[in-house]
Amino acid sequence: MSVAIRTTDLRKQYAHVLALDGVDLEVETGEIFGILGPNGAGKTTALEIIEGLRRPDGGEAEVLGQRPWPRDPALLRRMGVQLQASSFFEQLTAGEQIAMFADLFDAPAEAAADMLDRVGLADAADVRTKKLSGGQAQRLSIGCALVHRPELVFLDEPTSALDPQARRNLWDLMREIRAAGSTIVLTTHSMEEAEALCDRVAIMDAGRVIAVGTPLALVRDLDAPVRITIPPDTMTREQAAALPGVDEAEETESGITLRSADAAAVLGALARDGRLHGLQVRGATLEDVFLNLTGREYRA
Amino acid sequence: MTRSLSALVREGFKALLRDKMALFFTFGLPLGFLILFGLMFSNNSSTPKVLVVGQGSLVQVIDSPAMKDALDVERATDLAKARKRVENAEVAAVISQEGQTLRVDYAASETQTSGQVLGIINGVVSQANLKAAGVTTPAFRMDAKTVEDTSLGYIEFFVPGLLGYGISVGAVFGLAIALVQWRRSGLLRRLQLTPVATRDIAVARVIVHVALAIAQTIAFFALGKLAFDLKLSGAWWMALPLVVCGTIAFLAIAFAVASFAKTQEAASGIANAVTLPMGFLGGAFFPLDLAPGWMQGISKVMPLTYLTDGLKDVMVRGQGPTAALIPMAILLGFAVVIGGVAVRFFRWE
Repeated sequence: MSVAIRTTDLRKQYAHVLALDGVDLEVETGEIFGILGPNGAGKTTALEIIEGLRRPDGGEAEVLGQRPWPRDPALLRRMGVQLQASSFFEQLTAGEQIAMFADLFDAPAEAAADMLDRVGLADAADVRTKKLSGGQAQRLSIGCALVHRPELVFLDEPTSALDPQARRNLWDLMREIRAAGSTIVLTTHSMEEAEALCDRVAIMDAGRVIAVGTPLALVRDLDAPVRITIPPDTMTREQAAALPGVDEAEETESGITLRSADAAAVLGALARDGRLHGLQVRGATLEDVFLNLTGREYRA
Repeated sequence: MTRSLSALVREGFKALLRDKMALFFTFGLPLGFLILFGLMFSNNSSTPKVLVVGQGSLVQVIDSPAMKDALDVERATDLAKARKRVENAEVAAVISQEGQTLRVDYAASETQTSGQVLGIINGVVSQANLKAAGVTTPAFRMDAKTVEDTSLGYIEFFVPGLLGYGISVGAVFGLAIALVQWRRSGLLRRLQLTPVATRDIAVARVIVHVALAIAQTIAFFALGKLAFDLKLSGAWWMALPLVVCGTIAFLAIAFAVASFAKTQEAASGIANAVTLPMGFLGGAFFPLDLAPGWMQGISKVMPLTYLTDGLKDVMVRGQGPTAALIPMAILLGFAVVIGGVAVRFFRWE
């Protein structure tokens, strides 16, 4: 596997804030890589340095084999960056907007119409960008980042304002882009998105990378108990607590919730009694990993 | 022209044509001023209006076709009512004859027209006296001529003045507000992440605004010619290179405004604070010849002063093409100095 991005010991100090405190990242070519972290963790600063918008105080970044700083038009041509959904030429229509970015990146003219269609905006081609809905504007900003078929794509919370349909369509689009050999780096606050889409994720906090791996491996490493919820009036709390494998039983509004490190034993016992109906089983998720690593206090 | 540069230029024109406010401020407002000022002063031009009441040898002379160029004469019957109209400033004077005396009732408040009327009527009376004394060839004569083109009137002042003002407003507001909006929306950052050269972004804006200024110039010439009988004299075509240099100077100001303003409201406030005083002190609305020295001193640091002065020289004061060269050089000098300062303070985000 070749490497699309490599950073070593990136450091950045703002007036009163240490934004990056030694960030090492390695993104492989052809993967979808998620960067997770609470607000203020340093995700944006790290991406800005990798994209070439900022110069680090210390450390090095290498992107597609090049240095992103100082600004290098040849490197920028190979990258596609989605910023906030407001970064448009205000007076242009959606179709003109994406054609404009095709012009700026010297992409084939027909690519603009194709991409507009691909992000589901063919019907909105003649609508001024300031009249687009939040979701439409977000899809347009993704289309503008992808119109020149970049090798490396940066997406900033790409599906935060989207409805479930649009969100799944865009996940499909990203998987297609990956299948075509491109690399995608995205930030997200949606653990569901990270689990469904990302090959690997990095979790950042306080200017450092505190965990990297596939979502599955991170969840497995957490070694969190499975939660099994039994419908009300099936058994008493004491009966439930006595089942084999149960570590803890707790009465809740939706019934009795059991925590177990050996879910197989608990479920086996319940199956023998014919009590599987209405059962809910919930394993640990990436969100549990995230909260476990970063804590529950409010952030900036 | 590279593909990205031509795309940026096309975007500039589209944005301008779709922005009703921008169109109003670059065309509607300055052309509206020209129409307003043109109409306001056209009545007030050379021939004062007078009423004559009754008969008499001198009244007859005043009411003759020979006086048409000097006075706009109207007959009236009721002396009292006629005097009322003088009080109301509808006419400059009422003239009536009682025996050998020509009586002139005028309003002292209207010094300029009253003086003009009294002078003309005094001339008529003197002529009549000479004739009565039997003098056919007077011993002394006066030959008075204006130094400017004989037809230089209000419109010849307003067209170059308001054209300069319109160009300053179009360039300063247009670019400053666009740049601030681009910065606030994140578009400037977005453009930094494209392979487009910063130089192309700047060149595209200059092309768009220079083309806009040329369109404004054509509109001003056309309106002046067609509606107000603008009389051009001298190397009037040098107005074009002057306008181009002026636009570049104003774009540098706009760039400076955008460097200091954080919001669009602030940008438009600062743009107003720059263009309005520049219009008043830069010879756009009234001549500065009679202004106190310190005011003329302030006007010397305003690029608009040199644009309007240069425009007047080549458009209506009969000057040759070289008269535009010094103002053009000064305007480009302003652009270099102001632009140089702005570059140091400009922020992309």
